[in-house]
Amino acid sequence: MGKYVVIISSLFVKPCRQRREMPLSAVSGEHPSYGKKDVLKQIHDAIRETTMPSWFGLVPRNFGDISAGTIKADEWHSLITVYIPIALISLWGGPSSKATLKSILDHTMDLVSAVYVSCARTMTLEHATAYRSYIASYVGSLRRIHPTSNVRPNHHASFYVYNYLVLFGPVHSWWTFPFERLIGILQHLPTNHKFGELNLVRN
Amino acid sequence: MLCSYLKGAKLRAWLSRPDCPQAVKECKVLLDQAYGVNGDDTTVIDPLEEYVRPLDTARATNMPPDLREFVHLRRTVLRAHLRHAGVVFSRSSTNVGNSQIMFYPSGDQSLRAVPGLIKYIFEGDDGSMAFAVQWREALGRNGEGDPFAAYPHFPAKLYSARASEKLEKVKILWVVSHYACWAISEEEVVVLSLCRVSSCISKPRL
Repeated sequence: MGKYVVIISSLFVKPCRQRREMPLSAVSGEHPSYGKKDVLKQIHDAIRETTMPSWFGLVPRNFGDISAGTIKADEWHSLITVYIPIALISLWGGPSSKATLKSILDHTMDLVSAVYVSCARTMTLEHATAYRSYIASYVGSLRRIHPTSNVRPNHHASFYVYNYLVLFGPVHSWWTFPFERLIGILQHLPTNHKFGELNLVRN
Repeated sequence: MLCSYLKGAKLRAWLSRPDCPQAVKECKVLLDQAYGVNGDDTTVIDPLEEYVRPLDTARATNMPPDLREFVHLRRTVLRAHLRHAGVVFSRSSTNVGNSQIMFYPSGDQSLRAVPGLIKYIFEGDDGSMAFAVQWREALGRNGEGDPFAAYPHFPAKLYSARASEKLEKVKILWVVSHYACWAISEEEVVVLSLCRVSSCISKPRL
C-alpha cells in the first residue's frame, strides 16, 4: 500500500529506467520513433509557459537535465498530471501525427488517466473500475509499445490499488505523504552520523 | 503497526462519507484542533466566515466604467486578492495564475463549469465580495480538431486565446477551482481544470 504516488509515477517507465540505469546522467541518444530532445523541449516549454495558481507545486524547469536533481514524488505527480500530458498531446495528438507516436501517446495517457481517476477527492465504484481498466491497458501494452521495457513489481502492485480504492476510498485517506514528510523532517535533523552517542554526550 | 494504519485509513474513509453521523464529524473537528491540523481541509474552515465581506477598514473607490454596467453603485471596495476557504484568488492584473477560475455560469451546477479570468474583485450590491470575470471564448468548431477531447478522464480542452470584453459577475460560491493555461499557438490555449473531484474529472468537456 506504501508509496502510492511513487508507484504510480514510477510507472512512467522511460524516466525511471533512465534514473535507475544512469542516475546522474542527462538524457542522451534518440528513440527510434521520436526525438527525445524535441519532447524534452516541449515539456520544458510547457513547464516554463503554463500559468498556474500559486498553490500548485513547482517542478524543476530543467526536468531531464543532470542539474535538475532527483525528482520528488509530488513533482512527479505535477509532471504526470499537467505538464507531460499537455506537452505530448500538443506534439503527437494532431491528425497528421504518425501512428507509432499516437500509440505511444495513447499508452502514456492510459497512465495519466489512471492517476487522475485514482487521485480524485471522491471515489465511486465506477471510478475504481475505470482505474483498473486504464492500468490493465497500460501494463498490458507495455512490452508492445516499449519492447526494451520489463514488467516490474510496481506494475503488479498497481493492480492492488483498485482494491484499496474500493476498501478505503479516496487515496488521501491512506496514502503515505504524511510519512514521507516525517521522513523528510527526520532527514534534515542535524546529526554527526554517529548513532547512539547522544546519551553519552549528555552524560 | 499495519493494523493500526488500516484502522486509521478506515476511519478517515468513514469520516469523508456523506452518511457519516454528524456527532462523529464533530469529534474530528475537536481532534484536528487538538493535534493542530489546519491545512487545506475545508471541513475545518467555514468558507462563509473567511474574508467574504470586506474589512471594516477597507476604503471605497470610484467604480471602473466596465464594472458600472452591472453594479449599480458609484463607489465600491476593490481588492487585489481574496482568500476564501484557504485558497487565494487574485485579479488578472496582479497574478494571472490565481485569477484563472472555473465557475458555474449563473451558479447553475447542472451546467458544466467554464473558464474565466478575474478582472476585478469588488464589493457587490448586497455587501459581499464577488468577482467580475472575463470568459474564455470557446472555439467555434464544437470540439472538432481538439486533440485533448480524445481522453475522457483528462479534463483539458482548447479555447480561444482571447478573453471576452464583457464582464460577468461571479459569486465566490460558484467557483469550482483554478485552472492551468498554456498557449499552444497565438490563437489557441489549452485549459486544464485543476478540480480534483471525480465528478469534474468525469466531465471532460469543460
